[in-house]
Order: sequence, then C-alpha cells, then structure tokens
Amino acid sequence: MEELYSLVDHLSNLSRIKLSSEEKDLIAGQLKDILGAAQKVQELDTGGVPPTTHVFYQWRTREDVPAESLPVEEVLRNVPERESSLVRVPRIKSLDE
Amino acid sequence: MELDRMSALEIGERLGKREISAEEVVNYFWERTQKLEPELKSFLTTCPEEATGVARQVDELRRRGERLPPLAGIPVAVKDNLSTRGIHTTCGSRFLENYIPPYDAAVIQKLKENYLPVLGKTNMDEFGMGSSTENSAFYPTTNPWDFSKVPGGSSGGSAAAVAARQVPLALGTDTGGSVRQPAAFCGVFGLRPTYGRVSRYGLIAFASSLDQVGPITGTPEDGEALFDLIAGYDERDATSLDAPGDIAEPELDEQRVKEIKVGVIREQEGNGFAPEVVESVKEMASFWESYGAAVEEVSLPLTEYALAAYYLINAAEASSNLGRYDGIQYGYRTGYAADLQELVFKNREEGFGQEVKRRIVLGTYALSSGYYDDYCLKALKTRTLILRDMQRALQTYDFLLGPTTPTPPFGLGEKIEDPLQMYLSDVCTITDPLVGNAAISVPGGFTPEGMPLGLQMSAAPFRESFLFKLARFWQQRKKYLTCASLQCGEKG
Repeated sequence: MEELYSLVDHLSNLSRIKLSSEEKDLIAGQLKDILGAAQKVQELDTGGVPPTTHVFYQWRTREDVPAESLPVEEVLRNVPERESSLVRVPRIKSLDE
Repeated sequence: MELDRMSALEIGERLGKREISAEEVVNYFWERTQKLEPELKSFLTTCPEEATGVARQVDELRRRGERLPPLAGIPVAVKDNLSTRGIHTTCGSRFLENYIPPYDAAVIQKLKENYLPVLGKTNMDEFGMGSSTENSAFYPTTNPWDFSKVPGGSSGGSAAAVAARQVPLALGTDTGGSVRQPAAFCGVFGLRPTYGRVSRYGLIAFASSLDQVGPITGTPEDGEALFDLIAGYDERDATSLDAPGDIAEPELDEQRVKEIKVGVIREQEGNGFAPEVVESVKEMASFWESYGAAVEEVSLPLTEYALAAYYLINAAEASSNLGRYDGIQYGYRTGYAADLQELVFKNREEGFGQEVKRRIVLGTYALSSGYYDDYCLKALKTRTLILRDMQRALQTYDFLLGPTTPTPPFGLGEKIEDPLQMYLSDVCTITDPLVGNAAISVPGGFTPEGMPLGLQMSAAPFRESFLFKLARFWQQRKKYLTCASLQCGEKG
C-alpha cells in the first residue's frame, strides 16, 4: 500500500494535480482495484498485432487558408484575471525558493 | 393540445399546417420544464429567451409562406459539453462553471440552421466520466420513472428531459455508452452514430478516439430525423468521415425482415446480468424469430477484455485531453498561489471532482514511461483483436443483439463509492465505440417495479438508418410507453 501511495504521489505530480493525503489514500486504494481489473489485458497474446488508435483513420491535410478569427475581446472574456488584453498570472518562480 | 404526448415530427406537422405556433410550442415545453425541474434537475442552464427568439423567427418565416425543415420550431435540449456561443457550457465541472464559449459546436450550428430552439443545457457526469450523472459537480439528476433511481449517464440530463417530455428531442454524447445507457435507464431511444459521422467540432473532448454526438428521442422516427440533421462531413474535425451523408435504407416490411440475420451475443448474460434483463433479450430474440428472421447465438470471446481495454484507453486519452485545463486563459482560478506552478496545481485540485482526478491519475499511469507498453499499448492491441472479432461477426449477422445495461436502473448513491462497480455498468456498451460501430438502445419493456429496460442493436459502421428501421419495426408492434412524464405528473 505504501508503494501505491508513493506511486499516486508521483502521478499527482506528473498530472499537475495537488492531492490531499486523504485523496491520495482513497485513490491509492481504488487504483489497486482498477489496475487489478485492467491487468486482464495482459492475459491476451498480442504478438504481431498492431495497435488501433483510431478505427477509421484518414490522414488528411488541407491548405492553409486565412479565415476570419474571433474578435480578441470575445475570446478574452473568459480570462480569469487580466490587464487590458494581457493574461495576468503569478510570478514564474516563487521568491522563497 | 397535449404536446407531451406527440412526437417531435407530429408537432412539426402541426406547425407546418399552422395549427399551432412555434412560440406556443416553446412556451408549452418551457412551462413543463419549470414544473418538473425541481424533482428532476435535468438542466444546468436554461435559455427560454433565446428559444423564444428562434420560435418567433420560425413563426414569422411561416407567416411569409416559407417552407421550413421538418423539425423547425421544436425545442431541443443539449448536453452541457457541447459549446454554445454566449451560453454557459460547464461540462458538469466546477472548472468550467463560468465558461461561456465564444463559438458554437458544429451540431449547434446545424440546430440553428434548421431553426430548432435550444431550451437549455443538460446535466451530465463531469466531462462525461460516469454512468449515473452523480458525478456532476452541481447536483444529480433523477430518473423520471422513479426519483430515487439514477437516470444513467453521462448524458443523464438529456435522457431524463426527454423521458419526462420537458423537451421532445435532446442531444447527448457517447464515449463508452453515455447516450445509450441513460436512454435505456429512462426508457427512450438513443443512438450512438458511427465514429466520424457527426462532427466533434466544439464538443469538449473526453476521449477523442471514442467520443460521438447522438440523438435521444421518444420515437425512432424523431431519432432518425435529428440524426440526419446533425450528421455530415465537417473539415474542422480531422476525424470526420468524408462519406456520403445520406445512406437511407428502405422501410422494413415483414418480407424484408425474413432476410435478416440476428446474432444474440452469448457473453451478455450470466454472472452480473439481472434475470429480467436476460429475459427481455430473449423476448426480442423471439420477436425477430417470429417474423422469420434467422436468430442465432454469436460469441464475442473478447468481451471480458474489452472493458479493461476501454478503461485504459479512455483514461489515457482523458489525461491527455484534460491537460489543457490549467485555469490560465479560462476556467477555474484559485484564490492565491505563490507562483505559476502552484497556480496550476491548485486550480486542478480545486476545479476537478473525484472521478476526473481518478481517471487522470489512471491515464497518466497507463501512459507513463515504464508502464506504457504493458497498459496503453497492450490495450490498443487488444482493441485491434476486438475489432477483428467484430468484423467477423458482422460478416455473418446484420446486427447484434444484447441488453444495453446488465441491470435495471440502480439507486442514487448505490454505486458512487465504488468506481469499479460503476465501470462494470458499461460492460454492454463499450465494445461498439472501440470498433466504430453504430448502435441503438431501444425500450425493451419494464421490470415488475415499473423501471424501464433497454435493448441494444449494433450494426456495422454507416448503418444508422437500418438501426432506426429496426427500432421502428419493433416499437410499432410493442408500443412501449416512452414518456414517464405522465407518471411524473401524477407523482409530482
């Protein structure tokens, strides 16, 4: 279980989600069951079988054609914190580090 | 006029003859919605003013003698993961609670082009992750047939709204069953179209190789009309299929039914399947047999691996798709963060619910170095084997038959603490998305307690029209009640 807990810790870091210790406990427990069930795929012999990422994959490209864009003001309406047309965020690195 | 007892196409006919105005139709359903909403909670946002605006436009055009499309003026509800310009689109998530899209999804544009008033945005499991609508960050929706039961999910709001006739038509989205399973639980019709037939442009992504938009309706005819309206090639969706839009099949008559071969899926009974569910499948099998169709048992031996493959693939795709939510340009923003990294970590911690975090963590695991080959890649190879199995089966059979869900609708709160149990409720619906099939859930009768049962028919890609004709043949003879609102009215 401790191993799973530190795995969840690692995964929370990779997926950029802060998890409380209770959440880590809960997810670690559930992950154990879910991974147990997911193990099922290991039983199959898939030697020489190609993976399927999309069922009907048509590789398609198109010409770059300039088109009308949405008005800047409309697009920026959802920005949580802004100064005129700039998006405001905290400093990149905290000063106490 | 009791509009809740009519199909959308019947209302459309009356609108065409100007026996009733579109504004009256919108008012009627808006009043019903308000009356039933305190119990059901199908909607996250309603937009009666916008809907009335469209209705007035329809009435004005008709006054001028213009011919309009068959569904013009019929109110529709759309799932809250479909972007609507100027109207909140939350995906059932705190993270997008205040998000207002600056553009319309392709399917919303099509609704507008055909003059369908959108009455509101329906409740859903957060980002589509769930099978009961209990994972909505805001509130659960209830099942109109029994308020103590779940409506299914993730398009639970859309299915409940149609079953209660708050609206005659709705759009849901289906990643692993999210249209068909709630349609089954609410006793209505739900189609998962062939992957690529309906544009995903403006559909907020969950698992991109599986997501599709589909209609939820009270009759198969309404379903086909709404599907025809939303289907078609769209260059803005790289996976949209550049194929003929109209592949209508002739009406099924008793002569043509005799030429059909039905495969009843052997693996969809036994352990975990409720006896009344198994019984309803048998009833449908004998139904087709009694009309002269050849009915045989077919084995899809990889069914038990499909659920594991499905959950690995959807979690992997979800963890990647949901990486975009950092709360910088839009979405949830925490109160205070010392630096940019902490801002992102806290936004995601506070903005996402339990199930979303769980899937992101699982998907990150399946994709991470050292585990990718054993989990993600293995699941994708399993998908190939499942696809080959299915192609073999569909060479012999015109369609495959099974239940839509292993059990009748379960109680609110019954499975929410146990994610694995919740995942198992998708076992009948995950194979079709993995292989790109079209599949429909149709009403299959009721349990002794009066809860609806759903039956699923799956066919090869592009055979939506065939599935609707089958559904029609069935429903014309079975005449199952698809409107719980009559009961709602009594109970409410």
